[in-house]
Amino acid sequence: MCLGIPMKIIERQTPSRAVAESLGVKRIVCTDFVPEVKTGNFVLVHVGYAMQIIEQWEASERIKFLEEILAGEGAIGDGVSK
Amino acid sequence: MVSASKKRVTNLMQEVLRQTMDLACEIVEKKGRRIVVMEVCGTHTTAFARSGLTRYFARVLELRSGSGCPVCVTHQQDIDYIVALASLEEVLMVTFGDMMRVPGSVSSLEQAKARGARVHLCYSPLEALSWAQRYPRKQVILTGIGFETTAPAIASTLLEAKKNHIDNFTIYTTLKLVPPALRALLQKQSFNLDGLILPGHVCAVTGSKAFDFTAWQYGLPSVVTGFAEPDLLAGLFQLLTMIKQNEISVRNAYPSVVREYGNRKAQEIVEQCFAVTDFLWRGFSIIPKSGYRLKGENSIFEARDRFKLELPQAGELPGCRCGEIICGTSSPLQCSLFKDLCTPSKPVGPCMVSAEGACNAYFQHLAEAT
Repeated sequence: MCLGIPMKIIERQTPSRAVAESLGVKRIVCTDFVPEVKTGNFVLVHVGYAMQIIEQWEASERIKFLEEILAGEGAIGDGVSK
Repeated sequence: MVSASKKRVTNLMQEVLRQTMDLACEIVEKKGRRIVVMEVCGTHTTAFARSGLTRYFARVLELRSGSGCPVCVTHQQDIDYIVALASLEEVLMVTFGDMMRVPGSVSSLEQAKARGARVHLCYSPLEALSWAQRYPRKQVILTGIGFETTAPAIASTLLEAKKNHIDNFTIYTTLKLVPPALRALLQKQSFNLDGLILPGHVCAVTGSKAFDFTAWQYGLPSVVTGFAEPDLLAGLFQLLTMIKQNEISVRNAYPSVVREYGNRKAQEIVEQCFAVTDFLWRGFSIIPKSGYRLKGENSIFEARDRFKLELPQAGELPGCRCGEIICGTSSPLQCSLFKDLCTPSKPVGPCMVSAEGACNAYFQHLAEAT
């Protein structure tokens, strides 16, 4: 139920609708929750709604992320410590 | 041809896997028992099982399912009400696929459909509005099921119905909130628990801050992560690092999607339509402030109010331990019905029906190991 599919916005149709594509499949998605979304952005789509704009990671960013966690860097921790 | 950067990612993943196993072994040696980590979200249960990580780490790490499968935690009373509504002559029921085969006390939606009820599957709740416009003499009811991830979409659908004056549309609202259920689960927790894997897509809406209480109130290292294999592994590695270092905090291992304070726009639309209320959960009974009800003038869109039905008290499903499995106090393997009398093709309880249910994940991906 909480499945989210990363899709690329390929065309804005109206202020609240856009065409999104993933693996060659196109769908109209509602963009009410990400009104600032632009053509070319990647979004997380859940039940036909774009829920969040995804910061698209290139391989280089994935490498940086993995190297950071292996180095034990707490750069991505944002929680509270006791 | 594999690019150099992809090869580098693969090598790094293997290194993370190796180091995660080393970490797990160190912790096990220190504790003198297996590490127990709860994955709160049902999608994580399935993703870990499907990736092979559940089995790979089984000797040193128990991944225990929590209460994060919306179909599984829907109370029998609600299932019965939805099936009864679908059986009304004037009703056309629109539902997400997972709900179709959940057994009610008398029947499932699928069985009701076989008897002539009009039940349609949807991908998006907006499809319910198309059905309502296409069949103006029918009363279209949407099963509003899900957690914080789905609530904004249901709320937005309601606003569209209002805007377009679609009056033959209602919602059977059973939307629930994860943090109150997690608190209830942790309060009655009777087993060793070393850390939590928090639901990435719920947090995309609520923000990771909504789960800070797991650290400061319950002292549990917690990691928000995603659902692809690199996310699962990165999340697990970070969580085990925290457990080893006794770091009590909430980390975000899914920063490409999850922000600290979530999606404010989605939260606003939910607040516009719903009020928080006490709600009945399978396995828990009533949890205070754990669900949404339509508020103000929106309440005319509540299916329970438009169609008041008197139903007998819903009974337990005989022999079914879904309630305990949802609370993390039993594993599917401890249920005497599992695999023999309860299977995905002939489910007794909801945890075997839903693709996110713990029993279904065990059956599909781990059963031969049992």
